[in-house]
Amino acid sequence: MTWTWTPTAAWVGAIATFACLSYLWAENPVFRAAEHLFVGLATGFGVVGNWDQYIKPTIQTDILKDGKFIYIVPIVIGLLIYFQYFPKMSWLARYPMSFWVGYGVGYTLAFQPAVLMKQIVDSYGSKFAVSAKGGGIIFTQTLNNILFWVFLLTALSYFFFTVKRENKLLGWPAWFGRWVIMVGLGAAFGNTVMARISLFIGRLQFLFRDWLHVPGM
Amino acid sequence: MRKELPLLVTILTGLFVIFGHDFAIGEKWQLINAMDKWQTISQAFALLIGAVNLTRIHVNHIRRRKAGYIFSLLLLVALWGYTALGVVEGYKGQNFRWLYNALLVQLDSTIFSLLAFYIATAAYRAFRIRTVEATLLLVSAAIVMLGRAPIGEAIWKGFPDWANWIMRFPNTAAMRAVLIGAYLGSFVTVLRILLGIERAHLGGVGGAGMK
Repeated sequence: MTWTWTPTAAWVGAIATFACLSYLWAENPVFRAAEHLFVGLATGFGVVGNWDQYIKPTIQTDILKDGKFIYIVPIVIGLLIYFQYFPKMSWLARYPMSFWVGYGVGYTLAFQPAVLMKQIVDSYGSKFAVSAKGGGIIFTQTLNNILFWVFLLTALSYFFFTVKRENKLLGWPAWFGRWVIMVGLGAAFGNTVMARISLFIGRLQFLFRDWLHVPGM
Repeated sequence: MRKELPLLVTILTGLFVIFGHDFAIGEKWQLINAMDKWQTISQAFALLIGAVNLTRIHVNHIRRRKAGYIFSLLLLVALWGYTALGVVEGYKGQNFRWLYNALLVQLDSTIFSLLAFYIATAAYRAFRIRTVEATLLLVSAAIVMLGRAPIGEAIWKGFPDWANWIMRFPNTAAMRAVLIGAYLGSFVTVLRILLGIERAHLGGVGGAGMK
């Protein structure tokens, strides 16, 4: 579905943008209005999406058209959650929660081992990178593979709490692992900052290009 | 029985999913697909609880004339007005989509872009701690940021390569270690639930009045 900016839409978008950016100056009523409007619209969007993609097709197509009346059972399970608003019958709200937690438990035990084992096996594979042409060892790639293995083992040892850190054999790897984790978290932090900055650049592009029509933007 | 029966539901549902995945007959009967469908339907009908809770809180604000209750009114009008429009018009309705593109997307991306400024002050505060760990965190963040922006390459051509190296090796190793720990933790938790030792999900719903 394509979207083109009409003058009215661009003005609405620009006012919304400035209302949110006004928070950089100070907490103010315009920002609070934008914030509440955002929460209301976002929740409404979620409700409509849920209605349009799941609730309506289940009732209209699955139950009424295809006659799958068994689906009334999960509907009832889902609706039981609203009993938490009635103190005397709130115990009924435990059933949907039990069903979802049970599903999650089964799903974790049935599907997660394959993902975990693949990661572990890949981490401890051969460290030597061999050239496809001559069959010789590629030095930098091999070094990187070994470094990765060292980084992983030391980072894992940081989470190993069974033995006290005073133990010299485990103390040093855990100390180095802490550094590896900090470098990793720093990289994740840097990526997050870049994502936020690109969002901000996107806002400036909208203001200058779609709202103000500045040439060359 | 008000706690034992839900616990039985949890255990049986868990075993049913495992049976559907790990046994040939479960696969033949497509039990996993059926369970997925049941899970999706039950959650879809329960998801309205978020909107209901939000409404309860803000109706309360309006009733008690709390400070800023006018914003609560705005939120409720936006929430239920937009919901009504979507139900009448459909998810792809013209006015519904117009409000989405002109207003909701703009509010969403601007609010998240605000974090760029706050995350920068967080970095400054971390730098002031002056420990080896904080320095490593910031140096790594700076290299990744400079390696991902054109200005970094303009300063020094090596920044993109170093950024890629940090992402591929120390970052992947650290995240994998965290992930392996999280996986092991989740296994322990699900085993505790399946054995009926962990029952936190059965309590707390409905507050202290629940019996």
